[in-house]
Amino acid sequence: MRWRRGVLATGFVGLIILCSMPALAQSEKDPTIKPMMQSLQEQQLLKELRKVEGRVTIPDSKAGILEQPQGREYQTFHERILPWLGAIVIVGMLVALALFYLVHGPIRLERPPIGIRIRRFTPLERLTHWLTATSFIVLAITGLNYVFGKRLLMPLVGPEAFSTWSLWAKYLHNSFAWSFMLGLLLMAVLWLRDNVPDRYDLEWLKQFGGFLSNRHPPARRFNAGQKLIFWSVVLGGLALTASGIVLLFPHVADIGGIQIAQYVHAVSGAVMTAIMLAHIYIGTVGMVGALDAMVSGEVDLEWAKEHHPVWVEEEQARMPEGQQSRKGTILAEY
Amino acid sequence: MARMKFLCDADRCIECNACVTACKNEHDVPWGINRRRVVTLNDGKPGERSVSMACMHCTDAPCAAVCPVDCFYTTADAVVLHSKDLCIGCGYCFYACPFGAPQYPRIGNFGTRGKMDKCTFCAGGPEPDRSDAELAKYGRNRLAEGRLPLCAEMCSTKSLLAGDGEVIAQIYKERVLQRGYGSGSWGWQTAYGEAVTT
Amino acid sequence: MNIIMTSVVTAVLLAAGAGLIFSMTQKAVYEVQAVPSVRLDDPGHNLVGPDWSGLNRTSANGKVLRST
Repeated sequence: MRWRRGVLATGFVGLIILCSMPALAQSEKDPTIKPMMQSLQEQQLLKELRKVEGRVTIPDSKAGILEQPQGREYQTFHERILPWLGAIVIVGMLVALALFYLVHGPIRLERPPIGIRIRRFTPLERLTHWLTATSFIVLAITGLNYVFGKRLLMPLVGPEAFSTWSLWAKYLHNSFAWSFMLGLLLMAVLWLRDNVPDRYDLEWLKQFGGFLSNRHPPARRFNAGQKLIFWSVVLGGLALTASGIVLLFPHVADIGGIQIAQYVHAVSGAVMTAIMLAHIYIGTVGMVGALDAMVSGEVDLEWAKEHHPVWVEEEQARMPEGQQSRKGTILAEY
Repeated sequence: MARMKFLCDADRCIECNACVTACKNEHDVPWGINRRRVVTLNDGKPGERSVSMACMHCTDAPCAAVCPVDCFYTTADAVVLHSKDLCIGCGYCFYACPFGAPQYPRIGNFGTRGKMDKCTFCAGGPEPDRSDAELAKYGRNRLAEGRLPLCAEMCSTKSLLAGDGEVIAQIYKERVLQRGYGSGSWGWQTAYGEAVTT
Repeated sequence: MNIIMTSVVTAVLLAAGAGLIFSMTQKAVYEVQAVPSVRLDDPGHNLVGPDWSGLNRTSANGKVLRST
């Protein structure tokens, strides 16, 4: 029986050698065999999809994004492009306004005031304007703090105080957004009709509003410059609202969407701030009698005849002297 | 001076999540915050790869750059840390991070996220090393004890490497040469601007 | 001037109101992202039972008592 055991042992060893043949072949490292040729390549995925995404076992689905290198592009925009853009637009506007004021001075009446007042803005219109204006000023200051705060304010007050201020600025920004949106909606409803382009606008624009020539192109209730402001506010405000809502409720968009919302919000905010600086200029020091219109709601008849003669004609044609129109315009001795 | 980096060998990672568990346990990370996570690409298909991902402690960290209150700082070991006292929870660091490392404890409308939390390379935070305050806010400071991050220490296949960038790059290169394949150092190009060449 | 004060007050009230309403919808991450396998309540109510001592309490007739 011993020979059987020998055969069995030989056969067993032979079987082992046979089974290890493939392993022996691999250990020679045949360069044509590439077992991981199907393996994913990171740069290839990034080139095709712009991000690398997989599956995770945790409930946070956005954790499945392994890599989104456009975060670096966000960094470039937010830290290099945006501060320059904002600074140029805002400081540029301030400089332009200062120069205009120094060279031209405020826009005054050609003839002295008559003494009769005419109503220009109803209480609701004024409430809406100041609601939106207050909200915008708070939003602009707190919004600019996100971009310029650490560059301009933090060196002055130190990191701890700046952090506390920025935290409150964030709450203020998120909160006043809602009063701004309401004011914007009211504004659009109240003034859309009077801001539709009309036949006097082209001429007004061609003469640049008479800013440089001291001539006075006629206008209806709102001239072309005011209409430009209205449409900038409505459209710019719409852009700010839409992008702002995405930023307030981040789960409605993916990371790419949020980054784009940031770009839109920041650029619109900077541009709108510059435009509003011009608007504030002309409404306060830039033109005598303009602020009065929005504070008291009434303007001197001479002011109205010089700047909005067609509007005065329309108002006077609407009702005889002493009577109230639908909009409450009164012609009365003051 | 060492320049600390992470390298996850995607060909060795078996998605066991030991790194995740180790990190959560060691730093008492609250529920819902995921400092480290394992992402599986091509799950169930040929060429499936798993990568363990947390903060990569990038060169020119995007998170640090975009922070509006400048609450980030980089240590001498090139570990990117931040201060939870200064953080205002705005979320910009998450938008900028290529790897989704910043985590926030609150979710829901109105975007008030709470203080940001992320992988610290087991190096704590601005509080004094190994103090109670540091432990409560940022977790264990292993680097101050002369140790390396626990995730890499606990990795069951030693796919996750943590330590000096030169050293772990060398280890990975030797591995790739020895076995003949390697899908590369995931995230290195984006984080450090240079991938491990094998 | 009155109208300006009124509008400032209106803006502040609207802002504070909006802030209050939305902060009430704030949730912790672990509440929002919980899955059925994640327990959010006191472990004493789960199926395994609060007694982890490993000592099976038996009744008089030798039956092992379980908490329901």
